[in-house]
Amino acid sequence: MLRALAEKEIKDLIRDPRIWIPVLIGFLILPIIGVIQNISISTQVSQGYARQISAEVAVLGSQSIARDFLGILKASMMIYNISYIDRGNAFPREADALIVINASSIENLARGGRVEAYIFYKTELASFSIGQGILYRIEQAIIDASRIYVARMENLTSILPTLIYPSILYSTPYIQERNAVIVSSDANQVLILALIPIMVPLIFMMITIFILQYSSVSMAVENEEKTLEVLLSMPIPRRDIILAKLAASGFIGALSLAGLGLGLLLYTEMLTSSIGSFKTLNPNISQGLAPQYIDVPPQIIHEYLQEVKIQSIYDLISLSPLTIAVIVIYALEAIIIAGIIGMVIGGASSDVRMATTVSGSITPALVILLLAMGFIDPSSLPAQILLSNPLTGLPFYSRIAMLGDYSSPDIYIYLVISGLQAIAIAIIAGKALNIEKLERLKRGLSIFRKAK
Amino acid sequence: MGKEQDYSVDVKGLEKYYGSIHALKKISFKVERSTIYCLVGPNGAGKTTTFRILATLILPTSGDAYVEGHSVVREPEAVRRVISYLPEEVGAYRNITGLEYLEIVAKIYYRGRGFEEVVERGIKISGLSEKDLRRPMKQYSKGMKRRIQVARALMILPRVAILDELTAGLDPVQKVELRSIIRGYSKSHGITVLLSTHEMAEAEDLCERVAIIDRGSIVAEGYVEEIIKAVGAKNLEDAFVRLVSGGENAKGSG
Repeated sequence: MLRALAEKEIKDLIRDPRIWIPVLIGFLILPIIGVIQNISISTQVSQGYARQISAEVAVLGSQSIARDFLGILKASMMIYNISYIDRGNAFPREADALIVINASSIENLARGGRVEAYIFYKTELASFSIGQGILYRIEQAIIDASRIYVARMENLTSILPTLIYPSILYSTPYIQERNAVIVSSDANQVLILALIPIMVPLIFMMITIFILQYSSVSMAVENEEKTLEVLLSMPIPRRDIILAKLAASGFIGALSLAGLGLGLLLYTEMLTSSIGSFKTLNPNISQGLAPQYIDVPPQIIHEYLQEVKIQSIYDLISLSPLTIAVIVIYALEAIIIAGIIGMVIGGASSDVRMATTVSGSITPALVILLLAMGFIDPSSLPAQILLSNPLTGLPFYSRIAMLGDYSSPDIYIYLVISGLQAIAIAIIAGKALNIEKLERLKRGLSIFRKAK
Repeated sequence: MGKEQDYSVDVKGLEKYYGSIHALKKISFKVERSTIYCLVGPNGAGKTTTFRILATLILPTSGDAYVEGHSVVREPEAVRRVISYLPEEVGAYRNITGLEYLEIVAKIYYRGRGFEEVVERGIKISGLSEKDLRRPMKQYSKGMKRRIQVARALMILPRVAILDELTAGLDPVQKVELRSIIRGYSKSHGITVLLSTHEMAEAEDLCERVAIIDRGSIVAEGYVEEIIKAVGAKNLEDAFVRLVSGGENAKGSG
């Protein structure tokens, strides 16, 4: 009987084009964000870091003192793909920046002083980082020029490369939550590490919202077509009616999850390739710009960090079977609660439009809650409250599990509390699933009433 | 009047309040097994409320009703096993084909070989072509939806079929066809049919006994001819108009 009912629910839902809208949005949203970010990153890379820019150079004070320095600066600027323009009111129309060098400060270089330069650079309010890219290149050119100038004055040209890039740094990040250092990682992989703890809870939250909407639609359709009365007059246990609707909503939720997961993969791929473009566009310029992780050799790690695990980035984002089991239990509980809330909304709505309006208005509240979760300490009271409810427990637990291996045994207490809530709501829903109670709810809550 | 066990439906003092609205005022009537019984009355008289109580969808405020000996208040599950209910304005699942719908309902009631027989019967009652049966029901006309719902209600051969406004909104040809189906199935399979209508011609044509209900009370009850005779009317419609507008009570024998 349950199978027949579930078949009806799935067929009716899956063939309803309205149901596919959130599935499609779920699949497309992340790749669309990826495309927009890609365009933005590419623009920033090409405008700020890669394209040839021009800088007008002026001298404050005696031109003759600065002459040698300006010659060196011109050569340094070429390395950073900046064309040198002599003073002549080129900025801001023709030049991207105006550099004013304080001539008297150049003299100080030999006495342990520093070169003073005033820099004006072009930027846009909408993409400030383009200006940051231009400024970075100018700064590096001036620093290089200053070092070369000092080296010449002190007859140290033989050690010029050492003076300009005096250190080789090997670095390996240590992840506090995991007590581990990450090896074999590059900027792209670190990006994935940063994305996963944000994206996975977001996806879980979206799926919960979708399930709530699917079940509300499935119930509202019954009201719209007045088939609920027929269904309730049949010899079907109320429990089976609810289970069938939950199964159908869960099934379409799983499809949405697949869509969102695929979207996330596409998004990550787009983002990592565009971040990678920093390095490939102009190796000279981008040197040092993108995060560089040159691993510390393993023997050094072993010698100095005996208590610390050595992990690859994929070890960090992979979860233990126990953590996965906790997530699966939370997910099942969330399907029950979201599905039943959806059914109540759908059951009290006279048509699908009303049900989607009411269930859709819950979405912003849940999204704000999800954002707030980023600031909650996993051991605090608000965290305990979030973990004790399946709707919030699923995204919150998945977030903290992704950030670090959450191994507190308290999690089982929260799982039991949230499980009891799901069971209680399912039992109440089974008993409350009758026309009279739904009609009373409809009469009681003005939001479900049709405008006259 | 038959013996107690000959009654398929026994309504005893049903009363229903919706807030302050007194929708049913302690109504009582009995329906003999394998007969067609009509509840006639104007809109808002209490027909649908009575049927919803008999279909175990809502509870009476007081009183009880027995369907094949089972109380709608205390044994709703047992009642659901012997009835089939057709609400007045029921539509159809938009994205499921007519055939799929009949199959799903058949699976709820029957397993194995019985299932196939039931579906075959449903197809026959619906009178829809194979092509139509394979179309999603959102493409059905109102008449087609009604036919598939009648097929759904009758194909399982319930002991009591509760049909609210069977032919509402249908054209005359469709009405005649549906009435003929109901009459045929009641006779050939011994199904008790409880039917509500506000069309007197339908009641006169189809029903053996009639209860005229107005503002929550039964104002006349009995065989059609008896009611006409008791009121001194020309036909049932005339009797109905006199009873409902005049508030005159008539009770036939039987």
